[in-house]
Amino acid sequence: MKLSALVLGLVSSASLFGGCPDTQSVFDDYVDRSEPFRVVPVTGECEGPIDLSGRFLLGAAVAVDPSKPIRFEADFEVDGDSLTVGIRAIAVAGNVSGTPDGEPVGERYEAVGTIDAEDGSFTLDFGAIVVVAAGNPILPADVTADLVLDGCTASETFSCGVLSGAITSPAELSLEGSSWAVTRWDTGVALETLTLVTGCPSE
Amino acid sequence: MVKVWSYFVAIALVSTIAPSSKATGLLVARFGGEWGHPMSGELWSIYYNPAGLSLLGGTRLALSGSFAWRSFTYTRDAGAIDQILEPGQPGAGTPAGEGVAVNSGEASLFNVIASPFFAVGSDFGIEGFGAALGFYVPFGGQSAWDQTASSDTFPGAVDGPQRWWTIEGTIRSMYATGALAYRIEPLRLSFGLGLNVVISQIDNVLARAADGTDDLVAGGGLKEGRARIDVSSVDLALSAGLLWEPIDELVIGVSYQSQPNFGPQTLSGEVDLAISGGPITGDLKQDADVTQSMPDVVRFGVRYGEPKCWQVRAFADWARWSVLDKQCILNTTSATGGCGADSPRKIIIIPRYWQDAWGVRLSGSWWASEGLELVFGGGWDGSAVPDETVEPALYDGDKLSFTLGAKLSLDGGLDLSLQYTQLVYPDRDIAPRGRVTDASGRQISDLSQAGIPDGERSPDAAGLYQHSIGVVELSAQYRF
Repeated sequence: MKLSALVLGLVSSASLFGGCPDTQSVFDDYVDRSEPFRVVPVTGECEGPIDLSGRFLLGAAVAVDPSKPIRFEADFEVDGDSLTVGIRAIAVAGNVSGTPDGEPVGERYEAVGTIDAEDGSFTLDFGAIVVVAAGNPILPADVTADLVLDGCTASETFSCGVLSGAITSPAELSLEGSSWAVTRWDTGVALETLTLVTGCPSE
Repeated sequence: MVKVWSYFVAIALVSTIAPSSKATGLLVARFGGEWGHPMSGELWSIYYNPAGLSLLGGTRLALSGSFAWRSFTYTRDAGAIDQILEPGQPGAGTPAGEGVAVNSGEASLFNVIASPFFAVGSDFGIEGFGAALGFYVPFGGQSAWDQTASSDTFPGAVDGPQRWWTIEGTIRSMYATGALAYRIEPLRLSFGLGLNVVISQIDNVLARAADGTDDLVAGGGLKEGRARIDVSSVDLALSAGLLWEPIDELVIGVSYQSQPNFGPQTLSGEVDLAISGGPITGDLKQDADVTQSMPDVVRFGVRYGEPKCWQVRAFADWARWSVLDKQCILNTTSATGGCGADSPRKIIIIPRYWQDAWGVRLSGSWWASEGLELVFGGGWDGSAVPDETVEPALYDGDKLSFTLGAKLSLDGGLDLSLQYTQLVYPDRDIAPRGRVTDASGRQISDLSQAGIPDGERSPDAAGLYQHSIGVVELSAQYRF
């Protein structure tokens, strides 16, 4: 075999080897493959407007890691005449170095929404909020999110629903698949005696 | 002449990047094979020591292709898993049984890849002068891991236990260089300078959980996600070198390659994140920057011999890999913050904490005839990657290399060379970090043992690393 033919054969055959990584395809394939495993939270039964006014422990299970719920102290105020519901909430620290467990941390969030006269459902749009690191058990950093609560006034002591919106910092992550629930927190009752609930009960 | 160009066109068809091999860390520069060293007077010196261009003596064209096979097996230790969930145990973690099986065990790859080198240089008729242009890939790695058995329960399983660091991906820096050199004949001393345009790229897809653990599930739902990083940059770098020939055929060379961008680099592009267990809606892409630092490199060597009879060479290189402490993937939306665990820009921080590394090589040539040079060599290169941060994506270890080759000089000024290098990596068996209990009462791997902050958490890559590379170097040089 001529040397020239050998050289051309060797180098040309190299073009058949290997292949460039296709990381986009690998990523997209996982998104498709994992779709049946993704959680769609249960939405509660909405049966009509109920006066939910009072102080509650609000638990939020964020889809990023629902095993690490975020806790808030929340005050609901329902006006049955105007069918409006307002909420003022603040994150509660959880066993973070330097911050006592249960201490309110960060800013207080507020939102007002209307209650559906037929089924008692409501939407509370907080806009952009910051959950400081001490109140965020998922990441050791402040998190900014556009937060919306959808739920209904299920009873005087319990309400639940889904969270929507998105985390915008430090990374952009959808909150789809997240849920929330509240249990009444009467004055004088210790936080550690309350049962944290983070979503509507499944059937 | 047409035949000559056909050789070069054929070799130019070959491209991509070199395996993570040879030299240290990601420094894979071995174009020129045993003729690629800081005492060279051939076109390879455009990278190894630009002062060598002063010895070109005419106009030359060089093309080289490195064709490598790479075999890599990583067996992840089940003791590296953050939290194993016993049946019925709530919370986040890896369920015992099948979960542990898909989060540990053997991963493998066998890749065959190639890397180019191209350069042209001339003295323009000026004795002792040399100028050249070149293109090559001195830093780089690429891997595509084999798929493993799929699982009806864990959708991430098929991508293998190494998926927390890479499923497939590329990291490389390509250089386009212009260099000048001149020899001061009375002193027999040459000096050279090079300007490099460095095109860097990272394109990697990996498994990822938001908190940096290797949890498969959380709260009864999916926690394992995916992250894809695709960023690039164009930076400048400089090279400089000296070449001294105190007596005939005794040549001493020393050279310096600066860091790309003369310090930290920022690569820009996008990241895809699917790390939420809820339904995926909307666009998962977001703009992102990645900050990192590549090393500067010092080379030193000496050669001596009798022309067209024999030659011996000894050379060493030292790369300042300690500059690579972490790779930071940052959002571009926050106005403040850098690469810190508490930074509002932080998306992912990958701890590296690499160490300076060096390598040495002994090489020799013997001319069987006027036109046939036989070459042999052996060397040792240290590892830039400490035990604490070794992982399958950017792997390195201490290694020995052995080379045999030949160069055929044909009538008309064409030199063809062929070499084979076998790199031998001793196995690395890394013990698990151990586990600690965090504030929420769950177990996670203990980063404190490695001195890594919690904000830089990545899964524990403990396990057995078995790695081997073989390289065929095919090159052609033509003297006009």
